[in-house]
Amino acid sequence: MTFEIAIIGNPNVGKTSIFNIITGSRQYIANWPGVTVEKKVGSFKYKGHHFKLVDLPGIYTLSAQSDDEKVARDYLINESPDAVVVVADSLNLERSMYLLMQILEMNLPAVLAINSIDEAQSKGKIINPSFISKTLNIPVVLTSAKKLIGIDILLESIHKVAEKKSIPVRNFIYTESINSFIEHFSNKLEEYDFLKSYDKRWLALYYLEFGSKNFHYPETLIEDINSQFDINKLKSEFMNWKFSFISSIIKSSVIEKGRSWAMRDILDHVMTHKVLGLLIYVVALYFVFSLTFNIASPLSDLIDIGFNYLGNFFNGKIPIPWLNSLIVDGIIGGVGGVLIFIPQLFVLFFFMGFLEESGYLPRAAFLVDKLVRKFGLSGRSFMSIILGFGCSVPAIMSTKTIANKKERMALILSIPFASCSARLPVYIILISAFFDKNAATILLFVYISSILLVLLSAKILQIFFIKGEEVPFTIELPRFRMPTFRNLALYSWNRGKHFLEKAGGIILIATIFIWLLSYFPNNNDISHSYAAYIGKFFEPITLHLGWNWQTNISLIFGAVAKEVVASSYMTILNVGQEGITYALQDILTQRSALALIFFVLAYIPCFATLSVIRQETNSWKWLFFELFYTLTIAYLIANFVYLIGGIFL
Amino acid sequence: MKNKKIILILIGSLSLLMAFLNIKYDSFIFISYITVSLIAFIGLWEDIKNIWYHKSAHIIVGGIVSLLIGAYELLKYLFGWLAVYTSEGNIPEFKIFIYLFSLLMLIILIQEINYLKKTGENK
Amino acid sequence: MIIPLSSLKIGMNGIIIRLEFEESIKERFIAMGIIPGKKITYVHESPFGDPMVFKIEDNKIMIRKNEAEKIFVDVTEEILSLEESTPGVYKIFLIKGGLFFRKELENLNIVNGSIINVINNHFGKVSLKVNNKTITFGKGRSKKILVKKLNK
Ligand SMILES: Nc1nc2c(ncn2[C@@H]2O[C@H](COP(=O)(O)OP(=O)(O)OP(=O)(O)O)[C@@H](O)[C@H]2O)c(=O)[nH]1
Ligand SMILES: [Mg+2]
Repeated sequence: MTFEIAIIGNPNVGKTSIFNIITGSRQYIANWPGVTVEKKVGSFKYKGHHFKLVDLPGIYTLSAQSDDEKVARDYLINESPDAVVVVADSLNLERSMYLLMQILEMNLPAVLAINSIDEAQSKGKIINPSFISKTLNIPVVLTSAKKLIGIDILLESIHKVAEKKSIPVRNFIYTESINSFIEHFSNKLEEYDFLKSYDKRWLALYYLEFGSKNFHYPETLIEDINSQFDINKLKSEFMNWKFSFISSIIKSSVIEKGRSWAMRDILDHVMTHKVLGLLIYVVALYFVFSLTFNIASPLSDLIDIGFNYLGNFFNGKIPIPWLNSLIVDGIIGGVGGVLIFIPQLFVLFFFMGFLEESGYLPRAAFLVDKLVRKFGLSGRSFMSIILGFGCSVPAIMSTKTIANKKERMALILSIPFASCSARLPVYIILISAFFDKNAATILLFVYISSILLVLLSAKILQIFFIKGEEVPFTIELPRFRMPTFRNLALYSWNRGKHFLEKAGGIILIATIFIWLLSYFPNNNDISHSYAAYIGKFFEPITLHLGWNWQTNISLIFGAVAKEVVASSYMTILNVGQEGITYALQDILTQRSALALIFFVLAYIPCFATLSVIRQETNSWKWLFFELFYTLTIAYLIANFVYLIGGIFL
Repeated sequence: MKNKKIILILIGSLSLLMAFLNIKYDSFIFISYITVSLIAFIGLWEDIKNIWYHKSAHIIVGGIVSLLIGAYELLKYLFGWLAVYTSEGNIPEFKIFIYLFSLLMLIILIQEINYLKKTGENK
Repeated sequence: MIIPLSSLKIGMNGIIIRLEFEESIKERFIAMGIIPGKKITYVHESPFGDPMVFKIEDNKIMIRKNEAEKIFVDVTEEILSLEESTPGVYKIFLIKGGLFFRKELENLNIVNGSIINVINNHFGKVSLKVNNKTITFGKGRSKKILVKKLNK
């Protein structure tokens, strides 16, 4: 038989880290609250038994506000796992105990894992698990997912709790009046058959804490209870009881000595400074773009030389001319044309990994919160926008933690304007060809414009299309952590792997398609090919921007995945990265290239993004709206940039 | 270190000088030096009395950004040579002062961290 | 003295007394660690003074001003800017301006710790007496001087 084990706890305490270690999986980990937004399932074997492990989004309390929190709450209320691992943060034990108490009230078989014990140790904080264990009658384990401490003991405890069928009795000594309330409530519950399967004491306490909002208590019951008891008074009595109970446990099991500050406080002091904070962020972004051109570019030239060699090797060896062209111009030219950007992408992923793992992201949210509020967003949304620099799909998923419905909708539809990594290759070939002198600066400018575009779009959408009400917003700033090289490498590899899969999949298919269109019907006479006909069809609306049919056909295929714009240029212009600069200079001007960069920034999200938009908004209507909307905005911006560019360039 | 005021003034003015020496060379380096000098001067200007490590914090973060500049310059130099072979780039310049500045900041950084470890033990 | 969290000055701390929210929001703040009886410190200010970051034990939480106004703390000493002062005797706690501003005040015999006597406050334009000299500060400057009320 299989045991089902759930992992629950406050956000960012290391639940997924523990999940990954136990199951050997590679779920998404980062140093900000709200990374996991869906239930994730894994499995492991221990002492001959099969275990199913469920990782849940982090919650502070059972009264859930946003969609991700509801996933965790609903799981706890509706499922009956064989054991629940409550993960707590050793430096914030008291807060974690609050959730633990709610779970114990539900009478779930719990194991407490006090995680990040390595950080507590380095601060001179000593935690004595046996006292907590005795008082609450649950196993308590000190763990560290970073230093791999306590994992075996944790598994052992899980195994024990899961095997024991009955749940140990926990008789908390509540006050007199609370006891009589529970008594009365449970007696009343006997009258309702459909509530039989629930724990009666828990239903009573749950009502006391959260009222009847999240659970359907019978009306007659509520009426009776409200007439007999002063609920508000009881509630605050219960809360006070809980506070003093928790703090008495903490007092007897935690010893603090040593210094009360750490290096991270010192870094935090400057990094979260009202002026310097954002400046340092911009410098970091600038650093990445400078690396992109100065360090990654020579590397990608090296890869390009490799592909050229490969192309030359095959060229002429294949007797059938069309097959020869397909392999050399189509596949090697096109797919190779995307793969040469691996160094640039890894630089970007490494940086994104650093942002996420260090804990900087929520600090950026704090610094800009007031500013982005003018656009109907919150600092939390700003975090999702920055995540969008990596890829729009996880960025849109991360909006699940936003409790404000209106803000969330506007953000989902606007995130595609945040410049994702797939667009980087297109920017790079265009910027290298036309703005070589100020390459990094132009790129920084493009990214900052893309943030502005998201903000404006969110505002516009909220004015015209989406209505809703405000919800208070608070966020926890996690501790600064020095990212381990292993985590960063894992992060970059996960993202990079995705890129490679794309190159071998959808980009390859698109490239073959483009080759077909550009080879036929007149055997390699490209200017009289289908591609040319299609591209020329759109020339009436693009020629005034200086885009001819080659650009048009690349843009059309770029709708599949943005990298394809770069690869189809290489196929159609029939050159490698070396020659693309001159080939592009022949068909575009500086002005029209800048307009093109902004068009690529804004136009149609890729297929993967569209499907996640459909999933998160739960409607086809918004998907079609998004297609139309991004295309319109992109076209308007391209024209605008072309106009402005006329003044400066 | 004891004389944090002098150190901050030194970092602030030296990095400002470096910024203007490199204004034509590389705009990232220019902006970073400006940032370092801002970090130093703000550390001097604003005196948040309640936080005992205020000045040290500004010295340390200024130091970290300077190290970043040094690392960037070194990488740029090395990969510049690679570009000479792969794409006929220009021979990269060797900017001795940038390395010297980063080295100086590294020394200051280490000194400051040691100082913090000693004096901040019981705070 | 009990004041809202939003009136704390950077670096100050107090003991949380009560939260004046509707039940569900209140419960959420408590679950995040804003528990009555805990010590809370204002540690980071943002470019516009809103939101604010507070530290409770090892936990930093960002709270917007709107919400901070509804959380009440007990402070042993209240520190306010000169701009908000009413007539009475104060001790200078901290001067926030730059070097030049501080030098200038030094020449007027105003340094951290000196005792001043606020005579009147006209919408932020404050007249005060130090060493029998009367000085007037405009709103912008009086904002930069933090003072502590002395009980008389
Ligand atoms: N030093 C240290 N860091 C840890 C430990 N466990 C996790 N972390 C770090 O804590 C951060 C959060 O880890 P996650 O596993 O994503 O946390 P989570 O609880 O799943 O977070 P949510 O999904 O957002 O609720 C990451 O940066 C981890 O590297 C630990 O034992 N020690
Ligand atoms: Mg997680």
